[in-house]
Amino acid sequence: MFVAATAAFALLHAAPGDPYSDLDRNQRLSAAVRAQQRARRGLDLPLAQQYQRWIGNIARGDLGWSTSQQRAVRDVIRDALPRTFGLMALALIGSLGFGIAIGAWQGTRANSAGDRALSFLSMLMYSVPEFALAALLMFVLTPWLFPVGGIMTEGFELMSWPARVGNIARHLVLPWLSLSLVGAAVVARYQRSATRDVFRQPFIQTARAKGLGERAVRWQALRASLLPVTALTGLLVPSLLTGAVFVEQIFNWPGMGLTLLRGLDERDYDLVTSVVLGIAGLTVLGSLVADLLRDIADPRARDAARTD
Amino acid sequence: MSAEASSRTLATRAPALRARVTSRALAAPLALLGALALIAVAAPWLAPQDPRVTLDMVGLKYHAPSMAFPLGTDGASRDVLSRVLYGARVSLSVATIAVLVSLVVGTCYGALAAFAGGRVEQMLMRALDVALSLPRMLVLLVVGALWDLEVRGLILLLGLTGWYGVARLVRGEVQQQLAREYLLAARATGVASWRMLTRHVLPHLLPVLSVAASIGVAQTISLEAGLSFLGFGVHEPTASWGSIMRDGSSVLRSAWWLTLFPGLATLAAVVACNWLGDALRDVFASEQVPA
Repeated sequence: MFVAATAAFALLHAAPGDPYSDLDRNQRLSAAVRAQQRARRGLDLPLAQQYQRWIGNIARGDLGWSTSQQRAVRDVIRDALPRTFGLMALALIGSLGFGIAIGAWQGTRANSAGDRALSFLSMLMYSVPEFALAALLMFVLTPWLFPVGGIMTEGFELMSWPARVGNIARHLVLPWLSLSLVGAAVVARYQRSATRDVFRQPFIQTARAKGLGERAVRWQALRASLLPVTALTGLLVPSLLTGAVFVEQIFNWPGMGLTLLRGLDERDYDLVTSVVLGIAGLTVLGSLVADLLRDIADPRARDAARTD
Repeated sequence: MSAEASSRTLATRAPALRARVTSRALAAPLALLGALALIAVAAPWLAPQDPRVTLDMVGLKYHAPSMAFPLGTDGASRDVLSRVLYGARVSLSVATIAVLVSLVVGTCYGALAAFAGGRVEQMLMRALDVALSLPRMLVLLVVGALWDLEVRGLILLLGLTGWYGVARLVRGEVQQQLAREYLLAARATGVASWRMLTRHVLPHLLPVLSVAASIGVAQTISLEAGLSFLGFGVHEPTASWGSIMRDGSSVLRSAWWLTLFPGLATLAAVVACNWLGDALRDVFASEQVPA
């Protein structure tokens, strides 16, 4: 996270322009006024000093001031982070749920017609850029099903609680579906080969030999095959986050991705570095979740950790 | 017996790629890729119009697909078919060259780490871990948004952010090879490191690298399209598939042809590359001798 934030800081300050570039174009403002505006935010200091101040502030929990939204970055993040977090969490559940179910089904019927059809489909979903899929879903589904964008409709404040939840849920469906379909394709590909590998292992033969029903055998195989897929979760989170940037842009979902894009446009230093920090944080959180899932799926790993 | 000859007799046969290109599993994705590449190369002859020229600002804005304009026209009255054809050149060449850059950089870095060993290797790999922990798209977005990149800059950006995985792969693979007897023998007989690398190790990397390359190209086509779609990649008046879709994003419902056709082209290219990567992996896996 630290590296990510520092890299973002360095890139931002190395890039041409700053939050007050617009002022330079305004002929009526004197040079003195412009300098004064920059001095207020400490932009006239040497870069090393700016960096020192900035790191110090972050360490104390002060994320700084958003020059484009004219409010504290902390408030902007507080609004945006839960929206992206919610979307990510649901998309992760969706990807794993759909992906494992489809992959396991395919793995038990390898090379059947259904398996081939699904493989083809998951290859398409795996390959399609998120924004193209999102645009397609929007085109096909919006007119009669779901609102186009945003997170809530006008008049939201007047609604009752259940209506509010329903309203947000309806706005969530399309962004969630776009992310989940792509994620599920990735998971399904892994789950399919994992299932096939497991069925080649001796313990399956043993289970069948001792007269276990095919359903019970499949259940055992499923448990064993979940292991490689849990490792995938850690990788899935960054790719879902990448997708979230596009999906938020297309569906106008006011989360971290959209905040990042707007902040970049305005050269909003504090905001961009904080969003980068936040996204790096979500990535770290993702790998934590992956570790937890692995412990659930694999008792050996859990026990090894305990005896350490 | 010279050092050269002794190490060669011990060497396991390096994979001969040529024999496998003709294998049936590879034919379909290669054909699809070939067709796309052909379209890109032949764009100047295939395109009915100049992709940058506004034909008739007033009369030909957002025309639906018709006989005269098979894929319609865009908001600046340009022929979409011509733009998609020329876009193939930009999209495909940007991705291919960027992946070549990352293959070269990644192979050098990974091989260097494996040959150096010890503290140097540990430091190099640690740096790689740090670089890998940054979401790539974040770096691309920040750089793409802050600088107005030319196509050349875009290629460098994509290439220089894409090699970490390659480096890790190559280092693991080189380490494996270095542990094998034939290289031990080569080393014992005093073959120089760089010669060992180019002559003996690199051929063994071909399977891994060719798989990584095709999947890398697939990813990069997608990334370039995404960046251009957000307005941070290829800029006007040059067309790439992503930038055409950007033109269409605000008029998705009324001028769907601006999104559909470049979208299908992108999908076809990415599928072809992923498919090729999968097929290559299967082919190499089935021919591998169990150790």
